[in-house]
Amino acid sequence: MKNRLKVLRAERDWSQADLAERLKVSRQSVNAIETGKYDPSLPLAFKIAGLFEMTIEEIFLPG
Amino acid sequence: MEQQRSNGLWQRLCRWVRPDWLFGVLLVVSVILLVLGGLKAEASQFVPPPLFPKLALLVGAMVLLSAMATVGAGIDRRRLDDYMFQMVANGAVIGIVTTLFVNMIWNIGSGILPPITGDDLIAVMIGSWSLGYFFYRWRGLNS
Repeated sequence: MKNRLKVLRAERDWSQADLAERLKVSRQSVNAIETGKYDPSLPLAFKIAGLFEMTIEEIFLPG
Repeated sequence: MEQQRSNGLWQRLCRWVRPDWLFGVLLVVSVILLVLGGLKAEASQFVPPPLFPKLALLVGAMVLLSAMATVGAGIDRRRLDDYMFQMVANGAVIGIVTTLFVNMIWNIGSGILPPITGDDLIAVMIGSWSLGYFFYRWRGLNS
């Protein structure tokens, strides 16, 4: 699954550690999501969507 | 609120523990266990225990401990980082499957391969769990 997390994070000038702190997850989790090594759980996907004030579909793209 | 504070403290503690280091240590422990198992490999006098008490004890322990492990895993899942939990859980699957295959291969090759003990299998399980964790850490959970 592809995602726009890196772009959205860069737009806000947040580091991976900043985003991890806001999501209350490890920096490794953010890195793994951005590099496509890990698809987040539904609760975490909702948390990410809520943080960026977007829908899950706007951040995570199939394929 | 109290729950959130407690979760935050737990997550900070877990971040401090660092699963990478934990599984690195476990991998070393498994190698040490294998070496120690090889050193004390002299055959011990094996007296088969009576069947019924052994069966009852094993089944009882299995039911009780697996129920406790299920509760423990549920707590881990709620409190640990989801990514870390998935790597630990998937690594555990690799550990179990590897141990089953090692046991099967040694059963088939009994007489040809040097005998292994239950302690050796535990060492293999811990080692392959750690390796599974690191494989997922390296290649990602989607690999």
